[in-house]
Amino acid sequence: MTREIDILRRRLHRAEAALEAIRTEQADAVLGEGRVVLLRLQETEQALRQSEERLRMAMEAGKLASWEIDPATGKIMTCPRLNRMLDLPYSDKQQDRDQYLAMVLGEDRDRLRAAEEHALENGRRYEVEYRVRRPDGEIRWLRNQGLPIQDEQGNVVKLIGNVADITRTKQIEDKLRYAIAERDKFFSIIAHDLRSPFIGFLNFIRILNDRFKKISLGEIQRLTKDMRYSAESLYNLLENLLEWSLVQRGVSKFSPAVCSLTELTRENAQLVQSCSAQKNIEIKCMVPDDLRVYVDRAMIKMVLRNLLSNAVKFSFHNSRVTITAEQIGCMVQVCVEDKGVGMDDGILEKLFFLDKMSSRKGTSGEKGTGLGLLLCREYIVKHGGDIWAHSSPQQGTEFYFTLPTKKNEIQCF
Amino acid sequence: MRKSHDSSQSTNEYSFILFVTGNGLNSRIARKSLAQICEQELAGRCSIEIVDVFEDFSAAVKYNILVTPTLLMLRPEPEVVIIGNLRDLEKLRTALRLDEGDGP
Repeated sequence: MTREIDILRRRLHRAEAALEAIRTEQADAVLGEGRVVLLRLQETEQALRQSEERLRMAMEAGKLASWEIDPATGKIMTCPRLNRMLDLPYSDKQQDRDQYLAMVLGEDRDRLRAAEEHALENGRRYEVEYRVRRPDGEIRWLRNQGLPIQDEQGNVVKLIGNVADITRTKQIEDKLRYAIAERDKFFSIIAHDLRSPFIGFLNFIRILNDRFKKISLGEIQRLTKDMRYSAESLYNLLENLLEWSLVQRGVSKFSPAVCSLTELTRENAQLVQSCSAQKNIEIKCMVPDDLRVYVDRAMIKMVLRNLLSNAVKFSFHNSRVTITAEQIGCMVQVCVEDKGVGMDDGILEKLFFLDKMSSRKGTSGEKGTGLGLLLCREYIVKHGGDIWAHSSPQQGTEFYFTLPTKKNEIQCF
Repeated sequence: MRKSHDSSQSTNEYSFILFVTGNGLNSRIARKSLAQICEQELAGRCSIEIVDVFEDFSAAVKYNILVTPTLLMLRPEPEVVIIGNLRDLEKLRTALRLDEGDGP
């Protein structure tokens, strides 16, 4: 009897101690019939809320949206960010996936579906990039990463994942791809154009070498004249290439100053004199004496040299190349006009584009690349000006470009 | 989560079982206090078993545990049950009879 009382007393004592621990918040849980009842729930809840908040901020930092798909029903749970991304109304309930899938562009949808099905089979994480057309018509690139969640039997019970908007990355990727394709084309044209004057050169040397003793003075004179053309065209091309590479690497210095346009054009007209004389072409400079422009001398000399040598190259023999200029508003518009083979619209529209670069032979078979005009555009744009051309086949071409007159008006159009 | 402070459990002078729930605040405090006592005055003389009731509920039933944390001292006899977070080390020492015989 005393033993039983003793046990009861001890139990009572324990129960009192337990109650005291609960009352003074020194207990974490009460053990009931087969289960644990947690006390201090606020604390647990707070920890949960903190962890949820941390996860949310981490998603925010990565601009990631989250989703959960039930493969059995095909229903989806989304987060507000995903709906903002897709420009769809948000709901905190499960929704049909159809409206989400319908936004994915046709062939991309097949890829997304295939990736999901694959993941459902092998239980492995997957990643798909696809395009969606939003209700406002905008097309966005998304990257979707998903993880199949399995139950104890290994069945996939849900897919959980995140979505990031990668439109900007894709745009940069496209630009890069375009730039690389452009560069490849550029190199192939340059290589081709370097080859032709060089082959000419090589042939002349072979003839000289092979027939050295039998060759007449007159022949030598003719050959050296041709060699000179080849050499000049090579030199010109190399010069342009060098300039181009400087521009592309951003190391060409842009140092504009006020200078006389008349002076600039005269200097350049003299440079092409030897070529124009060959075809009896008159170069007429009709630039008013008082025209001042605010330009980088070296760059504009290069522009004029290229336009003038082009004009001479495509002029008919015994014709005239005219340079005129006039002030229009805060810019000076310069025109280089020739009477020559001209261009049709097809050639015209390709003129200033690297990826469409092409070259034509001149009226005396002169070689060239489209590189010169690209450089011209590059330099004129740097000055805040514009460059364009009018042309009629078999009649001639007019190249126009504009230059600023004063420093602060470089940005003025 | 079972861990023994000393593998030669049966030969130790002191033997404890501490019942906790996961990483709850009071459970953490209790674990720390017990570890402190066992590393100081009971160093090398005790074994501890920690039972997380989430993982081993049956052990809690076996020892009639009502709340966590609860500390059982099985040896030296008589058995002692201490309920609460064991924050007060002095009280803990007294309850475990560690003061006896250590006095001047």
